[in-house]
Amino acid sequence: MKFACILITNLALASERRKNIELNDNQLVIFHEENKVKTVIENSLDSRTLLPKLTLKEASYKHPHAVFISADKIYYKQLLNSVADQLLLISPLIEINDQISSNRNCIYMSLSGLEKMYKTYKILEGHILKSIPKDLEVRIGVSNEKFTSHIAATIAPPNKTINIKKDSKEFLNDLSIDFLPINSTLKEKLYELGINTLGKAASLKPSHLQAQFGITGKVIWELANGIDKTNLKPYVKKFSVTENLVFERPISAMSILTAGIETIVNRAFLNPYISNRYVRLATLNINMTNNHTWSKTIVFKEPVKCTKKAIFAINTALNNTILSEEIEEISMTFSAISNESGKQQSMLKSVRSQDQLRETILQLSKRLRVKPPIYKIKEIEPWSRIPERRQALVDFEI
Amino acid sequence: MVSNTRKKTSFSRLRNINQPKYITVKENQNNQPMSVLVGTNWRKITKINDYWEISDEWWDDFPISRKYYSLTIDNDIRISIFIDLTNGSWYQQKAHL
Repeated sequence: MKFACILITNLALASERRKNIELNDNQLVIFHEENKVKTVIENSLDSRTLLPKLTLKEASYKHPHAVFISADKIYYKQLLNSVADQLLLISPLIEINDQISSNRNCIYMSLSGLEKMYKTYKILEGHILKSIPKDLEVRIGVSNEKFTSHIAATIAPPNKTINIKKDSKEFLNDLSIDFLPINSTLKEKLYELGINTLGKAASLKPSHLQAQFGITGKVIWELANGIDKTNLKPYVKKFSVTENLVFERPISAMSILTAGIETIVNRAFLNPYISNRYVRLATLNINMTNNHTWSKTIVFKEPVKCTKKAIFAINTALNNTILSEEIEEISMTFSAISNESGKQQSMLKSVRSQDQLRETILQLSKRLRVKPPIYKIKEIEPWSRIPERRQALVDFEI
Repeated sequence: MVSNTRKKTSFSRLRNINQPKYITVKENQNNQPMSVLVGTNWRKITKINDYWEISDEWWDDFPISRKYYSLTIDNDIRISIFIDLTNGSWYQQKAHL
C-alpha cells in the first residue's frame, strides 16, 4: 500500500491569521489551558528558541512583544475537517490524526490505485498540494508505510513533498530514534544503551529489544526496520447542513439573537438534504467580537422534522445563557440526520425490534455524547463447568 | 485498492460477568460452612441444599479445584458459595446462571 502523510504544523497560526488578517504582520504565540496550566501550542517565532511545551509565563518573559492568543480549538478542528473533506475528493480512504494541543496534526491518505488515475505519483502529489490552502504550509511524505510517510513529512520543507522511493529501512537507517512514537523515558533508555539511530535499533535482534522494553521493544524493532502493519482508520465525512448569518453590527440583545436563529433554522430546513428528514443534533456557533467562538450543541429529545419544534428546543436550551461579548456572526449546523423512525407493526417483529433498539441507542449516544453503556450477554462457553466462563458482556454494536 | 467500508472502527471487548466475590465464612469441625458474613452481619446457614465439586485444568499452572455449596440462609434466602480448594478461600457466585 502507498500512503501519504499530510502534516500540518501551523494549523492554529493559520486559523488565527485567517480570522484576523491584521495579525499577519505580528509574531503570534498561541496557548491553551489544561488543568490550570497555560501551555504554548504554536508560535510564529523561531521554533528553536521557543519549545512547544513552554508555559505561557516563560513565553511571555522571553517574547514580550508577541501577540498572545488563547487557542480556539473548535475553529481549528473545523479547518482540519474541511481539509480532510477536500482530500476525500481525491482518495476515499483517509485518516485524521488531530493533535491540536501538541501541534502535530496530520492526515494520512491511501494512495493505492490512484496512480492509475493520475498517471504518476508526481502528478498526484501536485494535485494533493493544490487542493490544500497554501497558508497551511503542509508538509507531505509519501511512502509504503504510515510510519515512514510521517517521518518523510516531518523532514519535508513547507508546501513540498518527499517521496520515499528507496527501501524504507535504508531511508530510516541514519535517522534519530527521536522519530519513534514512544515516550521520552524509553527514548532516554535507548540513548543510555547507545542506540541513537533507527539503523542501530534495526540491527539488533528483536528478542533483545523485547527483553528490554517488552511489547514496545518489538514495535521499536519493526518500525526501525520499516515494518508498519497499521491500517488507516477511515474518516467518515459527517453529512450536515450549515447556515450562517452575519449581523450588520455586533449585537448583544437576546431577542435579536433569537430572531437570527429563527431565520437560519428556517433557511436550513428548506435545504433539500434535510427536507422530509429528521434531525437529531444542532450545533450553534457564535462568533464574538473578541474573535472567540462560543459553541453549544443541542440534542433533540426526539429527532425533529419541523422548524417550530427545532426553534423551540434551541430557544429553551439558550434560555439561561449569558453572553459576555457582543455577537458578530452565528452559524447553525444540523447533523445526525435520519430517516423517519416509525412504530408500525411488522410481520417480522424480531427484525423490527432490533431496528428500533438500534435507533434508540443511536439517539441515546447523541444525547450522552459518548457510547451508551448498553451491553448484551453473549454465551462464550455455555458448556463450561466454571460459571464465570459461560457468558460475557459485549458492547451492543449499532 | 482497499475499499472503504465506511464502518466505524470499533474496539469491542468482552466484559466478565458472574465473577466470584470474596466472602467470609465460618466453618464447623467438618469444614462445612456454618454462617456467612453479609455486610456487617453474620447470617446463619439453615440448610445445605446441595454440594458438588469441580476440578479442572489440573494440567495447567493454575488448576481449578472448587467445592460448591447451594445454601439457604436465614430460612428464606438461597445463595451459592464455593471454597477454593487450592488456597482455602471462600467466594460467592451464582452457580446456576
